[in-house]
Amino acid sequence: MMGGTVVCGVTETPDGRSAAELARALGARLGLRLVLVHVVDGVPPGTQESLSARQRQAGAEQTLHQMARDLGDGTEKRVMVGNRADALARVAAEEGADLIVIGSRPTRLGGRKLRCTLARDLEAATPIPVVVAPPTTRKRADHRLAVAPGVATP
Amino acid sequence: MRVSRLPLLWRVFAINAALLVVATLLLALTPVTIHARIAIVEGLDLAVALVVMLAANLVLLRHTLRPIHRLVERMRKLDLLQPGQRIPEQGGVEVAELTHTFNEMLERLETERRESGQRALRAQEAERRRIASGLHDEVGQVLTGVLLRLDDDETKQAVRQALEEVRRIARELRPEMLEQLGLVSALTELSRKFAESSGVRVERNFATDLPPLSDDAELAVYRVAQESLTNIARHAHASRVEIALQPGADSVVLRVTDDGRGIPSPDASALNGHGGLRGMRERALLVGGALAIKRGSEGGVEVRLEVPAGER
Repeated sequence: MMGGTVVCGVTETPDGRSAAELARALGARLGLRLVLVHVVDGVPPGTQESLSARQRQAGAEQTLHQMARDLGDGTEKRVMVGNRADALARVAAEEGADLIVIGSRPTRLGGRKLRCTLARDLEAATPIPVVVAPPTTRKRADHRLAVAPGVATP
Repeated sequence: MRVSRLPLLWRVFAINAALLVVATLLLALTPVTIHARIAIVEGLDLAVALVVMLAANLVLLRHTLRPIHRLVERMRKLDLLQPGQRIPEQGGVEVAELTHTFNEMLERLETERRESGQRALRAQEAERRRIASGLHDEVGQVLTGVLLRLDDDETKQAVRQALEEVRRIARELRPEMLEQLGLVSALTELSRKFAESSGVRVERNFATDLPPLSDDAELAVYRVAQESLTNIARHAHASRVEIALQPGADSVVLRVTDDGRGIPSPDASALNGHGGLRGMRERALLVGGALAIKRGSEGGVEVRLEVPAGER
């Protein structure tokens, strides 16, 4: 039987990709459906949608398409517009998510602390648990949930 | 005791007191003199000191009051159609207390909204049943009587069409099949009628091992499917629709996917006020479900509703 759902917020950065891979691995291990979400900046209400806004959306769709293809069949994709935390929380609520996975950055090179203001914002925006993927700079053991089965590390 | 735990009044007082102490110490310990008849240089010194003190005061107070601004910002963003949002109880004593009270108020609001929404939906369904009975039993009977007395074929055809239309409306208002034969049969019948009337090819994919649903959840699934098909007929220009019912994690998942012209914006939340989508969201919310309206994987639109399983 199909389990629940994991929603993963991604970006074009290696850390965004790292989050997607962790989400895929978690999904595969726990039998969860994976929904990748890319949030782009919104256009203020009452203003015309600019060319750059459309380009950002097109770029986000392309990134998602590429990631979903690399992660394998069954990965769903959504592009959202607006504030990252609010948009991720909204998708998670709409998809009935059990878990949200997001990426992070190290506070400094080799630092143990992670910088993830998104996690703090999500705390207020959603009751769904949030998993913060470690940044790509951090070395991880192969047997850990770092890379999804059958997915090649770029 | 940490400074951030101090009441706001004492934090503001401490900031102002600290600045005054610094100013007094500067006056006492530096060779600054102010004559009764103030000189230009002395006036400049005083002005610079005043500006520095005011700037420091502003910076420190802004930092102290930031949790309140953050709280206001989060309060503004809260969406009651997305329950469960709670603001972390951080900041000074007053802010934490205010946040706690606001979270409690949200709890009460969500409960009240859920209960009043359920009452409204039940009343709406009861009213629909009453109108459907009236249409079927009274208007239908009258039209049947008229039909039997008519001789003119053209008029008979018109009355037959009116009778059929009345029956169709009554069926849409009161899903008898749902009450009598269950969700799968009702959705099969609904999609069959939709295919007949719209000419759109419908593919059904209903699992046989679905967990049981409460009456309210079954009705929500049926109404969302009905509304989705109505939207497809009206707006999508689709040639194919897939309607699927699958088991989820202690839940049932309905998916209605079309191959039509899709959503102009990738973010379907822009459509929330259109096509009965808000009503669908309300229905999903009231049975503890999750509704997503998004671009389909191969174009078109996908409506996904997940409702929790539960005994009837």
